[in-house]
Amino acid sequence: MATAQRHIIPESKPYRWTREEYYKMGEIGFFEDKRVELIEGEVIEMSPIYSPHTTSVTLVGEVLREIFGKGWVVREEKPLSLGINSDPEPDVALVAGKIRDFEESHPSTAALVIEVVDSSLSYDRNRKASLYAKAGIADYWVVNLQDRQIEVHRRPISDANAEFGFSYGDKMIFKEGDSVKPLAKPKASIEVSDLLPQSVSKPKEKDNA
Amino acid sequence: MSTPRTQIIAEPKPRRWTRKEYYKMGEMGFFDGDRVELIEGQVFEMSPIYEPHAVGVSLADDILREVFGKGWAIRIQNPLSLGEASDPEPDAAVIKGHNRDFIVKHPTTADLVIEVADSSLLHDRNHKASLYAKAGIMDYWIVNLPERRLEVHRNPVANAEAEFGFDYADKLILKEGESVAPLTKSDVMIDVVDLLPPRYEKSAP
Repeated sequence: MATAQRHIIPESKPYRWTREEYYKMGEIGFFEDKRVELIEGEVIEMSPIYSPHTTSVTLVGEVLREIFGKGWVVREEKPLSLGINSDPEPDVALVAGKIRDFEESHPSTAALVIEVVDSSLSYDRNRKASLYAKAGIADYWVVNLQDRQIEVHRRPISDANAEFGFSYGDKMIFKEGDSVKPLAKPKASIEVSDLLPQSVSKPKEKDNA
Repeated sequence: MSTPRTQIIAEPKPRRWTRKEYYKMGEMGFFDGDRVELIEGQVFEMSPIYEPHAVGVSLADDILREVFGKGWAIRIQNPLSLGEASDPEPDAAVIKGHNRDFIVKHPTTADLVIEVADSSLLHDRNHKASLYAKAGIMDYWIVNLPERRLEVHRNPVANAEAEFGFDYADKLILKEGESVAPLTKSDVMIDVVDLLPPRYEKSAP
């Protein structure tokens, strides 16, 4: 039974797993039942995936491949090797290079990371943002399915209040009808509505002035 | 106006380990030689052993042997098997029987558990107290080094606010000069002063 809140007691030190230990656990079958990722030494079980999430991730992948083309790899739900204690699996990562560059090891950075979020909004806005800022990821987007908007995080800064000591200095919201220019290709323009599934359970939102 | 479906979905949660997985990890050489313990599915690093803590543990050891004697096993910093997901290593534990009894399986309970707390005070009061209460350990003492007192926890009860759903209803604070008898050896008084190391200056880290 999971506790409702995280009891963070300063002196108790949870053991922080290294990526090596995490992969060994995978090898011996510890994770057969659940999708997991390694975030700063903690193994986190990911939430189940619902179809709007999958649709959006696929749309994002397609749009990025179209815009970036050769010289870039678009990875969906694949690991990034960020430091010795982190192995997150962002929904989409845009990485410079070719697919074969990552035969031996996962990329250690990305030009753009996108998380599509249905239910874990706070987690992706705060904890994940702090992780990506710490890793120096310049452009981090949260595709917020609930509110049908894209939250763009830029300019990693050190921040004593953030979970891992870093956060993003600039946060901008783009709604349906807006378009966003990725830092890695400022001449390109991505329509917010091209990344969102058709709304399923919520009534269609009106365009407000 | 969020959809009902999204209200049911939980945020990502930490993976909890079973004791079996924890021992397997130990076998595979994880933990890098660090001293660790398993508390309700989470692995915690234990603090390095500073002198006051070491002396506190040794004093507890001396007193317990004197008080309990034959018919009781005294275990120092060894595991207790509490449920499927906990394997704490309390500083001292007293269990009816003989140390040989635990050759196949670590003790699954204790008549008295003592933790000597220096930097780990909050951890011992919260995580550990809730864990031991949940396991039904009737007598749980914390030797509080910074404040030089003994905190006696008794009467485990369910408590939704506590970390693992249980806590101790009765907490006694005893100072130097006072004494207390263990629940299972009520004819013998232990002086708090005998559990406290000599006063010391904290050495620079």
